[in-house]
Amino acid sequence: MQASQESSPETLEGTILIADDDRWLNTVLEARCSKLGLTVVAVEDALTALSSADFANPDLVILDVEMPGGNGLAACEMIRTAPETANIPVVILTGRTDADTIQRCRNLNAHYVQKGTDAWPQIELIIRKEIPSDCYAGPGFPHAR
Amino acid sequence: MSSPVSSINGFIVDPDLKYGQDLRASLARDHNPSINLECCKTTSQCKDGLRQSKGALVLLGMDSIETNDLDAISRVRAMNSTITILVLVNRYDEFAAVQCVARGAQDCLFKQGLGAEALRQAIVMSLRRQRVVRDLTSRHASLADQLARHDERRQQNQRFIRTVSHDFRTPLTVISEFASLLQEGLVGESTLDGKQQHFLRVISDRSNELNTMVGNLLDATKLESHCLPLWRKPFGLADAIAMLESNLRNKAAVKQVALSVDVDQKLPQVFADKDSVQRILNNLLAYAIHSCDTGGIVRFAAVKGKAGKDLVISISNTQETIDPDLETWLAESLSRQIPLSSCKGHALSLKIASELTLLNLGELQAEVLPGCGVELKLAIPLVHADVIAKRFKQRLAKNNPVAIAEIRNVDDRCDCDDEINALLNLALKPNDLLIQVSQGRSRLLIPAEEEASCLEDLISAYRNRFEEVLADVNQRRGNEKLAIRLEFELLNQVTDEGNYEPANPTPIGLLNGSPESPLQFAAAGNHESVVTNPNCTI
Repeated sequence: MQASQESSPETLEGTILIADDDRWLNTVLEARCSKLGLTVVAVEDALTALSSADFANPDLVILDVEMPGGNGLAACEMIRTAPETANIPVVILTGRTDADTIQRCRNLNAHYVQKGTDAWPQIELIIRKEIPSDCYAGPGFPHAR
Repeated sequence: MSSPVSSINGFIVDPDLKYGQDLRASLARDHNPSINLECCKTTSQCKDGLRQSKGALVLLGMDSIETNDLDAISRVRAMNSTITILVLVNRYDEFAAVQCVARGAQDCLFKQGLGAEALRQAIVMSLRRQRVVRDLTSRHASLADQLARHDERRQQNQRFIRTVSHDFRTPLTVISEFASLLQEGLVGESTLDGKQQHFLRVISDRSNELNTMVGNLLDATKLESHCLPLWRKPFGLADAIAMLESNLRNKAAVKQVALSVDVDQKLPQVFADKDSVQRILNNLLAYAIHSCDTGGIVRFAAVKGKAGKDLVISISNTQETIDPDLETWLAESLSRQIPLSSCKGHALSLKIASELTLLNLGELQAEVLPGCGVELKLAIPLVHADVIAKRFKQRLAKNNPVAIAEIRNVDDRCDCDDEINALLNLALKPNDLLIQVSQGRSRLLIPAEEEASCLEDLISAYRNRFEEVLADVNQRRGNEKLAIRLEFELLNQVTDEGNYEPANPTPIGLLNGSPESPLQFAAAGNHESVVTNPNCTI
């Protein structure tokens, strides 16, 4: 697990949890999020992601679907079930494009972002919408997608 | 052609045993083919022979053709599925003859005046017909088997393409992002020189191209198998293009082309699937940049259409020399007549853009402007319930009906339209439509998969999904439960002209949700009042 922080005058404040088994993808996302001023917790499996969601108290979680130690969608389900983490915005960042995966993201009130060269602009937009938290819809309400 | 038979064996089943024996005698006379029949009074007397396929023919004598008699045909057919059945009746009528054939007989003849020679010929013809039926049945089974195997192979191919494209996406994201990080100077101390910057732009651009190819491959597979999920909803074009702009500007820089994007933030929202519109725009702009002269300009502009129904997007480029075949190539690429599988490269990109435009109820046209370049014109519908319903019926639903319901927030104290809309959207299945008509009123369109589908069932199924979504949200909200009252009204289905307002709309039910009681569905007319949260604080 790595953590880093870098600030600039127009930065955001908050913590972001990234879980992807591809460490190079974690590296680029970490660089991007750090550039926005966010504290990053990067992990490479679903189980560590779940425990980190508990203790790191992230403002947003980015989850891959296919990871060692469990499926990212299942991890998202557990995040949604626990009262302490139920309202954390979740981004499912995946290469999967099937209707079932998209539907499950909708049902879990998670943002669905396809991996690809245009993924970061979408993630950045979601981060800017969800952090800082004063634009939250409220407890339990689905986040805008 | 089958070879002629020398002898035919079978049974005569007739309650009049004397008639059967006379018939057997007249047919048994020296003739080619020889016909040897065993006489029985009922079908049960010859059932062992029939089951063991000891004969090729049954002459089934009947007094008249009524249900009981017709059942005899079914009984014989059940005992032997391949045997030839010829019905002989005392009282003949055309309708009854058709009934006999429908039950599995090969022919039906009138007993009176039926000579041995005519019957012999009828038997031979019936045997030939039955042979043709057997042959067709066997070919049908073989084709069904081939189709099943073909379907299985196609599904395997689709699974393979899905897996490969999934596996491509992570490395592509990493390559592209690392190149961008270097370009933007987010890593390392030293500044890159011009050539290094250019090479990085090329890396980014080519990985974007690969990304588009992977996307096109997946889209083509989904479009060909008619299983591309679309979630149509209102969105601003400026947002959609903003996501693509960075990659497209990079592409334009590599090609040494200027890119001008003119999209007014105040333009009305379009109603479409945002992801697929982004793929359309990406494919069209990538083609426009690719085919633009070096040093030329690609222009992207959007205006509200004259009729006020669509947003019209124009993508044009500069090409001094136009290939004489370009107009034909463009027309073929956008044509629905050419299958996706026969397209490649930019033709595939344009073809996919064209197919996605159709699914998003828009229009795509290309025009070659000699000496100037190419203009691609894309129209995407604005949020207009009637226009969307009409196009949906005409272009997509075609022969199948579309269930239409109006959903109304009937609690005027509950001012939480946006939240209700978000929840209503969550209950949608891919390709369903939900359009807000006015404050507190939305229209739901669900295409039926089959012509005979019950439209009320489709709306009820949607309502059940909505109940689940609301219950789920309320469970998470703890004590701050969301209470809403919605009225669902089934409207007439959309006609080809796009009309669907019934003369006298009838409410089909009211959905009551309150913090005190779980969701209830009240039958029409039973609009019970419920305790609601007047502020609907979320």
